[in-house]
Amino acid sequence: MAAVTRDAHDRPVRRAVLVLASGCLVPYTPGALSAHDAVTSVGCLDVGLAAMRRAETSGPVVEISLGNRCEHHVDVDLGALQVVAGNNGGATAAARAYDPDHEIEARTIAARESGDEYIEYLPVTPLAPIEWLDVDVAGVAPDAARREHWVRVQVKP
Amino acid sequence: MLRAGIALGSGHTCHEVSPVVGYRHCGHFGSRWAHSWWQDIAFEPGLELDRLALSPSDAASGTAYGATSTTDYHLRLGSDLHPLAFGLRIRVGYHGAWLTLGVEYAFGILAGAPEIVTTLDTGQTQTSTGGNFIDGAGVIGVHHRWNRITLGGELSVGSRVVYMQPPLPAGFSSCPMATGASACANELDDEHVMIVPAARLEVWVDRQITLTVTAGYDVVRGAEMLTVGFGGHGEPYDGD
Repeated sequence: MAAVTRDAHDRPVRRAVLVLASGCLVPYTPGALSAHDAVTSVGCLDVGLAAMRRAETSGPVVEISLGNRCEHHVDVDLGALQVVAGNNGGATAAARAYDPDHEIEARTIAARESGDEYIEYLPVTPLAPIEWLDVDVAGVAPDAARREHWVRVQVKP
Repeated sequence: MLRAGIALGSGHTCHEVSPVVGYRHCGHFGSRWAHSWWQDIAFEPGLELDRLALSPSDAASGTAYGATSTTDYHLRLGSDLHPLAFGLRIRVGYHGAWLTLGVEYAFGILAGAPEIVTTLDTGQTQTSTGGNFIDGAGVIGVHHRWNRITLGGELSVGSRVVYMQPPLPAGFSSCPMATGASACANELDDEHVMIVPAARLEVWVDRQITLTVTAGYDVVRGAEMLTVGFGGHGEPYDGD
């Protein structure tokens, strides 16, 4: 495992401010995720995706930003995300979330709530380099239609 | 606000090193977006109007000290055992989708009544009015929401203390050799258990704020109470 580094998100005061700003006191408004590489809607849920490399991980990390546009809570199942890793040479491999503590589970997000999650995805068969990730976001909102919805995000260095 | 507070609190005891699932030291999956139980905590301050019910047997006695003599004093309630009172009521607790569990405290003043009769064994008599009350209770209730209106029934069980501190007749104090009677307490207390079924109406006036009206009746003493307040909810309005 690579050396663990600190991140601006982890400084307690700044984190608190970010959490407060994006938390329950300030309701989510559609469009707030526009800074992400890819934003799509699944039912009430806006899902913003960005992929990156981080020093503490060996595989690419997907930043998943969530925003609930509805005035009621929504079930969210990030464990249902399907991810395929690939490169511009044409090689691909299915990827699985790194979850050693089995934390990832279906939860609910409150009305007009927003927030983010960072998940590392590791290819199930060796693949290098990993230049992009295809993510099927359809299953993230179990109550919405389950037609596949693939989104490609480039892995930023 | 609670979420920020917990994040700040965790910063004092835990040094986070990564936001990535599986690498965190402090947070956990969903802590930045998913609903947590503590978001169901609500804080509800309100104004309260009461019609108290005092016992006609309330009485107290003690020694009254004069400049040259001592005697006994006796306090008893005169007319109006159902005085009006008003005050503040504060509730904190769990307010979920259908269940309420909380504690509440109230304090207030009696509005000009009851009449308290102070009698000295020497024959002097004085009447005065006024007093204060303090409530403490646990509350359990159920409710159902229709759009932005919530109706529910509750039961609170606790205690109430009504205390009255009438002055003694001029020239007497409840302290020996006292130079100022204000330092001495000659108090008539009414302490009793309260069991209060109540009806409750809530209207969501904002994303996390409700206007609440609660009307209850103490089945032990027959006191009545009406509270109007605001509720601040960690969990925002969860509509249809």
